[in-house]
Amino acid sequence: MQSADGQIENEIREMVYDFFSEECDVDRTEISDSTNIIEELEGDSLMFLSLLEKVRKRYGIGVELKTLARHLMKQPADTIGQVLALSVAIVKHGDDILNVEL
Amino acid sequence: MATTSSTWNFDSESPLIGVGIDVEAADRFTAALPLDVKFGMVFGTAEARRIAGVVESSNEACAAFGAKEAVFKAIGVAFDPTDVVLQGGAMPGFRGVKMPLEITAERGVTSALAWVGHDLGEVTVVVWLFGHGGAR
Repeated sequence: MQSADGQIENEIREMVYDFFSEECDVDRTEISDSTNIIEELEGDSLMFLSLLEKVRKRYGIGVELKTLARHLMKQPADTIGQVLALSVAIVKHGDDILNVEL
Repeated sequence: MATTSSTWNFDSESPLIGVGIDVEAADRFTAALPLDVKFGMVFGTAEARRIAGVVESSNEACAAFGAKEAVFKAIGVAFDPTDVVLQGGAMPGFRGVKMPLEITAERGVTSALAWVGHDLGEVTVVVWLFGHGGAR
């Protein structure tokens, strides 16, 4: 049986992959955890904000962008896998994400 | 500072230390984030109030966001977007950019200038940072 954390991670994985596939008009099969969002998908920070809002809305969390910006200064999220890990961490830790090593 | 349609001069005593450019489609920006999110996550209260008072507020909001993006590209580090504020003024035209001491001191920025324009639904912002440079 899958743990609650595992379920959330799978759900967020689906959300992240679907989101970038749709936004960047790329087939899902062409995306992997190592895909660079800016260089390979031509993504941008507006997409990131939009995804963040979807995650916030879906899980009812109120992480501040200021906190997230500080986290990103320490640990940038350039790939799909990094954005996925960040999104999962946001759901799990909220504003405490600043103290989380991904 | 003197400007014409194709040339400009900025009388800064400090050298240019960074340039950032951002182009955003106004309708895409409007659709991407709900108003309450933009006016909380991306814009601070005073900035949101100023934008709401501008006639073409969707272009202005897009320009204000673009300025934050351009500053990010120029300095290369993430920051709280509400801290970097495009000053009011003409579009197209040159504007000031307000940045927090935390960033200007660390990056050695003494002044920031933006050029803002829009054409065919796209807003372009170019930001020039002047100063002595700092830790990177």
